[in-house]
Amino acid sequence: MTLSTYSDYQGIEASEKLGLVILEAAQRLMGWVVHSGSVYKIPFSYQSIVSLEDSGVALSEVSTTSLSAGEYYLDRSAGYLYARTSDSANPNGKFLACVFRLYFASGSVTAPHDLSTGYEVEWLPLFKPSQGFTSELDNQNLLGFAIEGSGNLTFLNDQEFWAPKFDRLYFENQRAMVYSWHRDLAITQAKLLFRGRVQTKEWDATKVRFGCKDLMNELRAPVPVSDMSDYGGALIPPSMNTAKQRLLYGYLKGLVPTNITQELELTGYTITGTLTATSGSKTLTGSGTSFLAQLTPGDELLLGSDTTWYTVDTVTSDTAATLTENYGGTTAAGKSIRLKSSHPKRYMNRIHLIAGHALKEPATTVVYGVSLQRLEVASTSDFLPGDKVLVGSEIMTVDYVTGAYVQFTGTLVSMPSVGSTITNLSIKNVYLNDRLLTYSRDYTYNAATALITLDSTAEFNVAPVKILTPGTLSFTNTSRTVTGTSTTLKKDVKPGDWVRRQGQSDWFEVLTVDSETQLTLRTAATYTSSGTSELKQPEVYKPGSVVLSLDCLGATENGVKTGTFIKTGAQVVKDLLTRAGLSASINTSAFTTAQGDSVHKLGIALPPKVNDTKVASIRDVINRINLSIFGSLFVGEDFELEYSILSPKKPAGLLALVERDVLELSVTSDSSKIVKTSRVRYNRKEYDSASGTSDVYSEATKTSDMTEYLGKTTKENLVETYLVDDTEAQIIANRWSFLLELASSVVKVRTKMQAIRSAVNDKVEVSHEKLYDRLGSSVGRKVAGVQSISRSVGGTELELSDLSNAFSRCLIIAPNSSAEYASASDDEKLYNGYITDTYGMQDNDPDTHGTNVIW
Amino acid sequence: MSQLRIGDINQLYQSGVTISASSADASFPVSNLSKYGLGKVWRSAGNFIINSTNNKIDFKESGGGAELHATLTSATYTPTTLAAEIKSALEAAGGETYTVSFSTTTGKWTITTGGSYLSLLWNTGTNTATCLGPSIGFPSSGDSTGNTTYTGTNVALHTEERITFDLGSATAIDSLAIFHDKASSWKISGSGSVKLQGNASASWSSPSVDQTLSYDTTYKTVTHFFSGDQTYRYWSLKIVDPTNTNLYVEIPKVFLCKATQLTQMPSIGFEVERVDRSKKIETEYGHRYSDIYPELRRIRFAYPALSAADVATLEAVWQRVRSVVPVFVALDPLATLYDKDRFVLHGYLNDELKFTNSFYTYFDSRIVFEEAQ
Repeated sequence: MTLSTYSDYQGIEASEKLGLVILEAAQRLMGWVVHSGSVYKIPFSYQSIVSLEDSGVALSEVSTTSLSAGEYYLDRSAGYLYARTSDSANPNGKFLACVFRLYFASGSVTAPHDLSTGYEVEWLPLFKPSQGFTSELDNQNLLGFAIEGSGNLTFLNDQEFWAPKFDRLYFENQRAMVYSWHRDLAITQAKLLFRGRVQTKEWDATKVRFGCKDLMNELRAPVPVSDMSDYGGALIPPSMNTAKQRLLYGYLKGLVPTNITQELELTGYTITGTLTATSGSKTLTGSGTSFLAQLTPGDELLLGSDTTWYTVDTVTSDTAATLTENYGGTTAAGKSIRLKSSHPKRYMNRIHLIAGHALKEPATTVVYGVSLQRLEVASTSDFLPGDKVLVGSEIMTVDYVTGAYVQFTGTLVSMPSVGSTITNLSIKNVYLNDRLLTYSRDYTYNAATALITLDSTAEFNVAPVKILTPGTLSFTNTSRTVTGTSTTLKKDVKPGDWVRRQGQSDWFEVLTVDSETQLTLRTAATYTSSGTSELKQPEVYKPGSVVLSLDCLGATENGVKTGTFIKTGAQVVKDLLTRAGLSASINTSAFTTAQGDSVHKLGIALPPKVNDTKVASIRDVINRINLSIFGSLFVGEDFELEYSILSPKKPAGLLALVERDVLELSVTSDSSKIVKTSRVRYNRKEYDSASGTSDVYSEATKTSDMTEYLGKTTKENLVETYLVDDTEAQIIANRWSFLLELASSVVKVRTKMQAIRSAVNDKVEVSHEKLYDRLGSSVGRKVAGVQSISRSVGGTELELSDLSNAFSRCLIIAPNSSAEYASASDDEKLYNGYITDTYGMQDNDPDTHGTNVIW
Repeated sequence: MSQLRIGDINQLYQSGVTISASSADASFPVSNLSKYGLGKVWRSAGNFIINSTNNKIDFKESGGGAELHATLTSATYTPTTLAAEIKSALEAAGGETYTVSFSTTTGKWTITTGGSYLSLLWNTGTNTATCLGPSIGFPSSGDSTGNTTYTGTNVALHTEERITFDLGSATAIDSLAIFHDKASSWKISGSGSVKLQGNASASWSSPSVDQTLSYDTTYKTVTHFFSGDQTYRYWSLKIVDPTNTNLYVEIPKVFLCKATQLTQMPSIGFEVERVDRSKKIETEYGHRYSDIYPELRRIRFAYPALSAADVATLEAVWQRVRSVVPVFVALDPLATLYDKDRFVLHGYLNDELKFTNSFYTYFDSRIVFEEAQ
């Protein structure tokens, strides 16, 4: 028999089944002796080096003993390894870590070390291939929970081989690959059954065993985000050093950014200019200072390298102030000034970091001005209703987007020129507590640096105007002194408040409240007027007392604001895997397909709360994404990471298993997950400015008639999601209800080689006389998804989940050429959806009830 | 049947025996031959003996120029060192720079001049009879002319390869057997030759024993049974197969021993079994799937009324190897009734040896050999 491909081999009933194993091991190499000059050598009996690192830095492999710094050469024939460290120093004094390969097989095999055209090695016949390697998807707990694939590599314990290696070599966390092969196949056709890393090892008199986990295990690591201490120039208290520069995806609501210009407990806040202080004197003389704007009596100052804080008594000009006590330090000029304020200052705490990466800032250009309310633009990608866009200098709100047109809720003052830029603001709905700020007037932002900067008048601008009662105020042009009549200023006004004469436009900030009838302003009045006056008492931002919150867009694929916006589940998962260093293991094609299937908009903040010092594991985040969109991440046939969205697509290339393929068959059904009502939480707001509360969600619910009236259960299922859109959340709630109204069946099938190329999430048709009927399915036949696959060198065990018979109950758009239900074949009934009558039946057949469900 | 030989003292498994080879692929060292598994083989990596019979290269560096003569230093070379020696000899004799290489992927040699002209006079040169050409794949039937680079016509892996066994002292040998893994094949080509040589010293120019070996394609083994003891300290397998298309020569499991013989032949009625170790599984509907494993043989010999001396001999064999050290067994090695290789088997003794008293001091016994990989 000629075997050209693995499929040929897979299809024969009787065959020699060989398992091949590549097991990597690491070792610190010592005992080097000088070969020549700075080139050292060591006896080395292993045939294949994966890497040789000099204190973590990889050396380059060359094919000569004439080595430059940072190179090595393996002379396989002579059994010597030559190396020259990166600094040409003696490698015995450095940490040279070598990862190399060991080769095993279940029978005698001589084959290329690289399973290609490389040099041949003996694959030691120590491998015992009886156990399977499992990839699994936790569909029983409903969808998408990726479980690590695992398996044991068991070897005959040949003492001569293993005794000197088992504990002297470092197998922990090293890679292992298992292949299935037949001698008549080209070695390149060897089929990868498992790829993972060693987690455990066992030894007994007859065997050596290594427990391995696949790539999914690497997702247990936390999402990689930087600490705030890594952010250069951040003025944050030590307690925030381990808080995270957050990672944001999609559409964030009510996000609270991190203040990075804080007044610090120990070192205060450095203000403008320097000053001269004289030992034994209370007088301070500033240079380049703005005392009137920045100091307030009662503030504390730390000058130069002093360790003693002094209290400000008076502020008389931008360069003159006094202390409450004589200065005890060394007389000198040019002393820096650090301040601990007696009340929140509007020049402090202005800059906030939103994320540790650039934020998406969608932009397009004007193609044609249809009207002052409607523009044709080059691209409407990432423009949505409700977005705030910048047209010239005007901020407009998008009413709706249709084709290439953007319609605004209001009317532009002037028509933008063709080619001019329209920017969809990355940041909108910025609030200080419940006060909405205005872009440009109250804050600016930089999407590239993810910084938002509050204007020093932001709080003043949004503060309500009150009438100062009782009494009246007298303002005198050019004077900083305001006199009250019948006033109780000590009670009603405080430094930092603003006052003006009613009817005047200019406001003045209060420096001090000198008495019940006198105020001192920070700047001189610009008019002379007496009478009823107005008061603004801004709540100046200070961490812990005022909450700054905003809506924003998250990260892009390439890390710049103009990059592709990461907004769907598949995109987020791919980005997380990339950040985890797994980009080489991503099946791009699968992610591209999943992205097309996953249009739901998400909003994800990692960590979810500002100043959180811990961040969830990659696995946990992905699992929640999976719950949000019915996605699943799994290790595919080629041991690449694939992503898939559950959808009622007509399966392509369906693997069909019939009686002759099935060595064992069993079906179990779990009804414990059946619920009456499915609740979906979505649209999380870290801070809800309207209610003043944190961690606020919206909720969509769906109650199933089937479980309410047939199942008689009152159980509910709550799913926490990253969804942000009302309609999408309701659809997901409906789908959860659909999946949880019937028990999900698991079909266990044991086969030989027929199913060995299957992977989790594949759809498989099982046709067996011993199968039972279910709603919408054909007699003895079932389409189900692979939730678990265990491959061994000699066979395959599958667990197939029908997800409450979803694959047969959902409406699938069948081609026009499909036969009517009444005349359809069993195949067509199995694969195609059919429109039902008013009562949910096809051809008045009660067995078809429930098959017409729009997914 | 004239004899039953039990090869239970393979010299290659004994301590104090030194095994060396003219070359070795690092993945298949000659030390593999002291291991038990059939998969443990030795592979060559290239060995060239250059002497006065093959050390000349006649060549020209210009069309009408004088014939130049390069002479290689007589020595034993690896492909790498021989390439360097050829280059050195050419450059010493001529005025150009040469590049000489051996391809491990084609097994062929290439000689390239840095000048504009090169003729290698394998056929018409002054020293054709002693030229290097045939040793590196350039037949002496023709010159290499008209180019500046020439690659040999033939694969040229070695002039000879040799595995040498130093038994430490003169030791009697009467049997040699070579077995290979059933999943593999005999890796010496039809045009190649393997000789068993034995000598009192490690000099192989005219060894006392010089026996050509042949591969039995029917029984997939190589054997040679001497009619009497050959007592020498040094033994060697000489392999000459320079054009082997595998690009190496390979020697698998070698048994070199003085076989144990009982005075009594086993009784008529010995059993030969063939055991299929394949594993079968069936579906409920009767469809069968099989995992194929090698077919292995088992031979049972019955000895009625063994003498005390034979019982002692058999017990000595058992104590030496029990069921853990491989042996070979050869029934009728001198081919009086069967082909000498028909009942040659590599394997282990069964894990039980039993003697049943027959009468007086005589015992009945059975001895079972199971084939092994």
